[in-house]
This record gives sequence, C-alpha cells and structure tokens, in this order.
Amino acid sequence: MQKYSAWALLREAFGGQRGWQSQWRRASPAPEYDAIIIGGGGHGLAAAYYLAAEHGITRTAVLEKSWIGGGSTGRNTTIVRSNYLFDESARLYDHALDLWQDLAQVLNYNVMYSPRGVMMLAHGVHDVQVLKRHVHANRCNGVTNEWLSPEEAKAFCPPLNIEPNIRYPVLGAALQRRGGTARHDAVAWGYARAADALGVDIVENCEVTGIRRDASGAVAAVETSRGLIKSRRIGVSAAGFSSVVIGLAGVRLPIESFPLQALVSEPVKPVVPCVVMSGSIHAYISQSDKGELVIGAGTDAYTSYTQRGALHVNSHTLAAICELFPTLRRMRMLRNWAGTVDVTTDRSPIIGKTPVPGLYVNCGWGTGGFKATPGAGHLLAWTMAHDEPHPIVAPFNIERFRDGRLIDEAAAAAVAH
Amino acid sequence: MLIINCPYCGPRPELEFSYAGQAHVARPADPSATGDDEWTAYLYLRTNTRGVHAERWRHARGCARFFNALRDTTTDRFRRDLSER
Amino acid sequence: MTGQRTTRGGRIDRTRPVSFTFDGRGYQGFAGDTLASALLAHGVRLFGRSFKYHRPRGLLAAGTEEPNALVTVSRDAARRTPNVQATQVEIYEGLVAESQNRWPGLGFDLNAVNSFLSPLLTSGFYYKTFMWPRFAWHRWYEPVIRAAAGPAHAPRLPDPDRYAQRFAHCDVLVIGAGPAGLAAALAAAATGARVILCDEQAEPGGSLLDEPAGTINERPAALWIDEALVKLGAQPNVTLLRRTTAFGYFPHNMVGLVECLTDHLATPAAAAPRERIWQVRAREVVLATGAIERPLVFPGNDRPGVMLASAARSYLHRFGVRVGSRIAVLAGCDEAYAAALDLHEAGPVSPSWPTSAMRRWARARRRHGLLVCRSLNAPPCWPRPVGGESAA
Repeated sequence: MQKYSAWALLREAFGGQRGWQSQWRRASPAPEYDAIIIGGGGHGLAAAYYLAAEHGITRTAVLEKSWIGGGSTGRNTTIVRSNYLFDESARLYDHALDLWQDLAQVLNYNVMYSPRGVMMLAHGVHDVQVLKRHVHANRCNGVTNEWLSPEEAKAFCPPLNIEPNIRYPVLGAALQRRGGTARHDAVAWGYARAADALGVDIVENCEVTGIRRDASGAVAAVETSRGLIKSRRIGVSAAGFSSVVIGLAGVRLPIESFPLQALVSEPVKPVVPCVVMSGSIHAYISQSDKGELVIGAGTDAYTSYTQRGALHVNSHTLAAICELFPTLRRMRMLRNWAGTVDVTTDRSPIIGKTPVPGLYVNCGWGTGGFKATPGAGHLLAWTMAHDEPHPIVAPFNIERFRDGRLIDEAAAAAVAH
Repeated sequence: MLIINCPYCGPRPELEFSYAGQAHVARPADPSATGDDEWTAYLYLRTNTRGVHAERWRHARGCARFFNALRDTTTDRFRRDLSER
Repeated sequence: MTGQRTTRGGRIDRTRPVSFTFDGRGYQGFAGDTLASALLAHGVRLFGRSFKYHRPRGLLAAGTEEPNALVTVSRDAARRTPNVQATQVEIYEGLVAESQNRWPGLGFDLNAVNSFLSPLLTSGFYYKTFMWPRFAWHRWYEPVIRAAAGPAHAPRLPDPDRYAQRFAHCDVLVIGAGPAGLAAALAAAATGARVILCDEQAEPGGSLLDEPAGTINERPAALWIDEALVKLGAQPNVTLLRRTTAFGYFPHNMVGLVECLTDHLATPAAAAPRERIWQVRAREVVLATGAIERPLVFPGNDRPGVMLASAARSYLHRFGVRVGSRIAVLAGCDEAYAAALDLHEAGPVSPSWPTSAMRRWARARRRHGLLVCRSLNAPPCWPRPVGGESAA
C-alpha cells in the first residue's frame, strides 16, 4: 500500500501528482472466496479488513450493490459515542470507541476522528433522572460520562440557550468528552484501501440476488448480478436492507426498516464546538470540518425503503434546534436526505451466527451504526473467523428475542421512538 | 407527509394517523400452549417487506379506528382501492 | 470586463435611486436592481473569493445559479445573514453588504497564498496527512482547518425576526412563473382549478424578462406577461407567490416553499414575519423551472470577467447594465447568438463559436457589422483570463 504522509504530498507536489495510485482496485468477482461480505458500507469494509489483517483470511470479497459507502455510511450524521446504559452495550460501544482512537494510524488514512464531546440534553425532571442514571451506569462500566449543570453545559457549548422560559428548557446535560465525530466517507475509503492492499476484492455494482445452500443446509454460494460466487462463509452487513438479503437464505429477522432524515446547512466559521443531542425532542447537531451544521431528525413513522422522508419530521427537528440555538435561526439548510435504518425492538444490534451454518449477520444498528463501525467490523470478522461469537457480541445474538434477554436500550433511552 | 385513505373518513394527512405495523399478525389463541419460537415470531418477527406491504394504521386523531392498507415500501404509494375495514 | 449602466432600458426604475454600501463603500443603484446588478453598473468586478484557494471571483450568473458572489447582508447586529447570493439581494435604501472569505480585504487577500500551495493541497490531501502525532488532529490540525473553512460567520446574536408557516392545498401547483409556468397557470385556472403559482424572483416572467423583443402569440412578451398577470389576479382560485422558492418535493405531492416577505424592504413592519414556509399539498405539480445555461470548461473560467451569455443578456435587459465594453461571446448554446446581437446593439462585440454549424448564421451577422471569429478549436480566441495564471 502506498503510504500517505506529508512527505508523500510534498513528493507528488513536485512530481506533478503523477505518482498517486488508485486507492483500491476495481475488482471483478472471482469464482470462489474464503469469505464474502455482503454490503460495502463502513461495517462491511471494516469486517473484510479485519478478516484479512487479523485472521489471515485474505481471499475475501466485499459485494456492494451500488458504490461503497453510499448507503447509511454516507447518509449518517457521523456521531461517535459509547454512553449506553446496559453492561453489554457499554462493552460493545466502548470497544468501538477504543478502536477509533488510533484508526487513522492503523489505516494510514485520516478518518478525522475528533473527540469534541457529545452532550445529551435533559429537558425535564424525567430526562434528568434518565441521563444521570446513564452517567452512573457508564462510570460503573468504566465508560466516561459526566453530568453538567445548565451553566456548565453553556460554558461547553456557548450558543446553547439555557433560558428557563423556553419550550424545551435545558435542565442539565450528560457529557461524554471522548465522544465526537469522524469523517464518514473517509472511514469507508480508508477501510477499503487498507483491505484492498491485503488482497480483499471490493466489488461494486454487484447485487446479491440469491443465497445458495448445500444439502446440509450450510451456505455454499451467492447469486449476484455479476454471476455465481462460491463461499462457505458469508457475512451480511446490509443495514436497512438486511431483512431482504438475509431473507434470501430463508432467515427472518426481528427488524424493521424506517426512513431516517438528516440535513446540512450552509458552511460557516466554527460556531457549534461539540455534538449536542436531545433524545426527547429528536434533534442533534454538530458542525463538520467544512463548516456545515449537520443536523439529524427522528425516524419517519412507517417502514420504507424509499430513502426519503417527510417535511414535517425535519420541521419539528429544526423548530427544536432554532429554540435551543437562537443565533442559528437565520441559517439556511443546503441539503436534506434520508437513509434506511434497520431497527430492532430493543434498539440493540444483532451480531453473530444465524440458524444457517456459515451465514453470519451484523445488523439492527438502527439510527446509530456509524459510531460502531470499527467495532462491528472487528467483532464480525472475529466471529466469522472462529465460527463462534466473540464474547463481546455474544449477548447480541438472534436468540435473545426468543429467550427474553433483550438489551433494551430503547426503554433505557426513555424516548418515544 | 403521506396522504392516507381512512376507509371511514376518506383521505387525510399522515399527521392524523398512527402507524401500527404489519397487518395480519395474529395473537396465538392459547399463549400458554404456544412454543417459544411461535411466540417469538408473534412478538418480534416481521416481514419488513420491500414491495407491497400489508400494514395497519390507526386514524388516531380522527375516528380512532384501525384499518388495513397495502403500501409499496419502495415508492410509499398506497394501493388506495384496497384499503379495508 | 467593466460594467456600465446603459442610458435607457431595463426594468429598473431610474427615477428612484437607492443608496447602499458594499464593504463600507457607498454606491447608488435604482429600485429594481439586485446587489449584483447595481455593483456591476459601478464597474465592480470582484465579488468574492473561492473557498479553498481564495481565487478572485466575479459574477458568473444573474440568478440563483450564481456560485461566486456570496455576501453577508446585515440590517443590524442581530440581523446578519451570511452566504447570500448578490444576484438574489434586492437593494433597498441603506442596505449594508460585505464580501466574505477574505483577509484583510477582498482586493488583497492574504489567504490567496493557498493558490501557490495548490500542488500540496491536492484533492483529498487532508485524508493523506495530519495523522502524526496521534492526538494532534483534534488538537492542532483540525482547529486550523475549521478556522479556514466556512466562508462567513454565523450570526452572533439571537435572531429577533419572526417566521410564519402555512399549510395549503391546491389542485395544481405551478413552480416557476416564466412563460411555461404562466401558460400552465392560465390553462389550469381557466378550468376552475385551485392554482398556486410560485416563483423565486421578485417579478414573474422568468426568461421573458430577458427578451424584450420576444413575442408570444404575436404580442410583445412584456405585454403578454402583464395580461397574464391581470387575468390570474382577477381569479379568486389563483394564488401567486413572488420571491417564493420551492425547496423540496416530498412524498404524495407535498412541496415545501419558502416565501421571502421582508428582506427586500428598507423598513419592514416590526411585527411582519420575515419568511413564510408553505407546505403545499397539490393534486398535480407542474415543474416549469426553466433552464440554466451550462458554463463552458476552459482554463481560468472562474476568473472575474467570465460570465454566462444568458447572464449578460439578463443584466442588459432587466437591469440596464452592459457587462463590459469589449466583450467576446463564447457559448455552447443558442443563447450565444442572442447575447451577441443584444450586446452588440449596445456596443461592439466579437463572438466566437465552437461549431461550424453556425457559419451561415455568422455570414448573415457579419452583414450587420459583427466580428465573428471562425476558430473551432478555440485557443486563438480564448478569452484571456483577467488577473493572470490559469488553473490546472
């Protein structure tokens, strides 16, 4: 892999930029692989990278129906945090957060992980109690999180309105300083480049249309828009389309797919220094390195694969943002889009084996999969390589729904989802 | 915002409705005699159809009644004539 | 290319002069001018700086497609609006506008040093460096990059203005009040349908406003517009929304519109809302948005003095501003002929065409005294970029 550095930039500056290699090959699918990952988002590319880098499974292909990073990876609001309530979640999300710390160096690709702090606002007594419970639970699990008074919250994020006479007054906030943002495209490209360098084939414009099983019931091959590809180890990392893909193998998942919208404003000089989230009014905001305010809304009410949503959902979010940040009211939104998110009943993901031998799944991340990208890929790769769930993801199996062992972050968030 | 055809009240904006998920999910008649797998399917497994989806809506801010509808989840278009009481 | 006001013509009101400031300097335009046209009439060429290299940028367009001339307009300390297109700002008495993304000034911008560093700042350079030492991205590099990015400052004080919203239903929503949109609205209204007609400009008419010599049904275009507006105005089933931009097409024919209500007024009423959001549910939607001219690609095409042919016509006919005294016309569409002729009538022009299919036309035009260059592969006739080197 061509090494990226300031020296490389300098060398190419004098060399007329002719020495740059393409970041990954435009691979055509081989007839057979040791492992196949379906879905070329951040999660799938990360899984392929760790399969090759940590488990030596380099005869791996990532099959992507369109272009890599074009689904939820390219549509999310890039928030990274790990302040979840339950012990299982704390381990899972903090594992990912640990991997974020030196991801740029590991991949030799600046993914711009920026621990600028994630602040979650409390607007009522109930919110205060819920968020304080999170702070305490997180600390018991060794996850950083701290409670801020309204004044401390404003000191951390000056444009925040903490007047008591507004519709959603700020009664306090939970701050995870280690949380922040990263550059979503760079995460996909960085993993793609590093995986490609280890021999992984990244096959774009390759839609999986069938999953073949042998006489024993185990997976044997995938049918794709670019032909039949054999493999006895298949991981599905298809986010909002997971039900469709895994349904090809006759497996049903306890997930539903909803539209989730986001918006960005015109770019301006730095004004919002951290990530601010409000679960109870479904709004979150941060500022990108380019200067755009990145704003996210709640999901639309109904299942859909259209990748678009309704105006009233954004209006609701922007009304809340305008009240919390009255200096931003004159700003205008430049773009609005939607992705498709795969939501489980307990708002926790499903990672692990499926009832079909050789078929593995990583899905159900709902509205918050980006933050887990390195962790999800890392743990899916481990699980596929060992054919048994990594201890961190073991509780996140499909069977938990049957066994009544939900990891109910939906209830923990105390938000009307 | 969708326009949803309530079979009792006629077409109304989505804001008046609550989505109630997949239609025709029958509660097992005798839960105590129902196996774990069947109960799990009843509680959690959904078709999550990409295509024409049979679903329930409730005209919550209207007549408050439930009804079934068919909607294509790749276009969000309802098969309007097929809404049923 | 230095613009100047023509002695007559245009849709401005020459009896109503309007004073305003740009970067602290006072100018005078006329009622009906945009900030862009008024400054152009004073010979202003430099309107902004590019995002990354801070290259000098002038006006490319006359409408909402303008990519360069972004300014900050402020009424008072709390009413500062960043990133507004100068082509969309209607001037009013006392308007205060500032250029953006430059330091210390628009003419001399030290950040333009980035241009010399351009070999280093290759596309995506930030993915390839700033990785050492590990903690330094967040602490050292990112703050510098963030401070450099963003062409303007967000307002620092809470916005005191009010905003309104409205839901509306109609049978036909027509987006764009140019010739096609007006005709569609007339036809729909005649059937008794409830019609909403919206247009982002202050004045309906669209491209016809740039065509004073144009005719519709053998009547002058301007007259046709006036008649159409009278007819539409007389019908209670028609709502005409000026300064109203359709910004989103949502499921089941829900269209979001934003109507600007006070930004063009010198002294808005204290309680008047500044903007109104319309959420329009339409049975049918007619998109009559017209077309924008595609700019040609050549070295230095971002330099001040390079402008769309359609924009040059627009400035001439709508605002009575001739965009320059010595003009070369180069365009990839029919707009070139019309622009060349119109501009020629107000002074000498030397057009050049990229394809030979226009030779016959060119011969005919030479008889009118127009200089026509024949080169097909351009270089001899490339407009020389003002201000020096070309971009790779």
